[in-house]
Amino acid sequence: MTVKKTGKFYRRVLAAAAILLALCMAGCGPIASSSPLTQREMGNEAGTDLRVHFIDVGQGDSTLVEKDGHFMLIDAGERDQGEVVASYLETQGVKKLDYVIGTHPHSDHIGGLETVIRKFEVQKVLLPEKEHTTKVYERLLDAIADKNLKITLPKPGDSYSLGDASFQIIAPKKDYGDNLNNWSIGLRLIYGKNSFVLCGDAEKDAEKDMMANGLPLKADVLKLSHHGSSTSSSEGFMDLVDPEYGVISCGKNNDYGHPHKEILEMLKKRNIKALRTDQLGTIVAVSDGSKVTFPEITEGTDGDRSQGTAADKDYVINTNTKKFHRPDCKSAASMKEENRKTYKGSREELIQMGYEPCQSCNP
Amino acid sequence: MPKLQPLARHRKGWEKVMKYTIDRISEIIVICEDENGDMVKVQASALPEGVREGDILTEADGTWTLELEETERRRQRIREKLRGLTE
Repeated sequence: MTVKKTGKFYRRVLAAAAILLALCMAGCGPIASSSPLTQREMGNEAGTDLRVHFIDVGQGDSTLVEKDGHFMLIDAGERDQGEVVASYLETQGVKKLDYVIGTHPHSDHIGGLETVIRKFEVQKVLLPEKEHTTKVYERLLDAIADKNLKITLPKPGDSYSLGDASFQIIAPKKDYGDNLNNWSIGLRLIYGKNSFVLCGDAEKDAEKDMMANGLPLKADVLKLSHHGSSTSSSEGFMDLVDPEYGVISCGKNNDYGHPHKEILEMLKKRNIKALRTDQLGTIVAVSDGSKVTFPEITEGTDGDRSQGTAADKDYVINTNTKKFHRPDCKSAASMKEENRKTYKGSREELIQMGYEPCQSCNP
Repeated sequence: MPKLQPLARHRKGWEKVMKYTIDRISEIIVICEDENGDMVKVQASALPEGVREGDILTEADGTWTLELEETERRRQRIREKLRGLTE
């Protein structure tokens, strides 16, 4: 304090102001002023819950992590999802992002980051040491430069704090040449007894290196790499992560058939509950340090449904017109016998197989 | 949903050659960024063999050509840009 006037009154005012300021800094931090200084003021050491938001960005990835008013954003979907992610962040009260991570340079991961970086105050940016020649990648670099930010390269073993949670870098371990997926930044987020593993689009080769680097991989929640593609989630890797929940970030009826059937079967076999953004929209996981819950997902709409059992229905399909109908639809009855087939499964599966829903019965 | 547009099939012969950058290769589907920054889908079988992510291609009347020199030049330039921003 550099006030030179030293009358008793001024000293008292100053002391009071200092106490108030100290209280404020210790208690509220960047948390919204509408939430009273409850938990931490009352000495709750553990602070607030850790929240991990798997934002629905269609076919792509975007994850917001929130702890004690600190935020980290991992990826932001395609370029046209930048605004979607930015407005989601606004609704969550984000003013400043402590970390922005672009897992790897594919546009379905980094596309929206330019918008986010330009819109929010950002403290640290992590990108793998691998360039890409697309305009969308160069625009991301330009946004980083325009904001006078620097890029931090990920090193396996490095740890960072986010409030009183932390995350450890687990990938990439080496130069993966032209395989951009394998360059993905992988991290393990830790709060109390709970942990989450997220590795972008890392494929089996990168998973092998993660298994070999000796860092812990066990997690309650795994964001399945590469949108649930069979290029990833090898048996050995799954053995080590051994999650209770598997989150899959993918778009409805995407062109790649993500998540792949083998992966859904693998999850079922391992009794891992699958949660998919194409079925549930944005998925929020909450950890109090000892237990992970998904408060917005009610029983019966999670694992079972996403694995296609609860959603299985009977349909009549026309192999000639490539339309599908409810069994009681009039056109289903008048269909030529040689084109007519019955199908048990989900609407999504049929659409993925190239079938269209009948416009009159709207199955 | 991402703005993935199928490639326009019929382009008039006199129109200029179109340029694309391969963003990613996913088995049979290749996602290319066009000159406007939009992502378009191309069948892998239509492209020259051995193309890699990051390659720059030109297309005229359905014929695709790998622009090796331009790819290398651009790769080098962006690599420098990334290095310059790294801590």
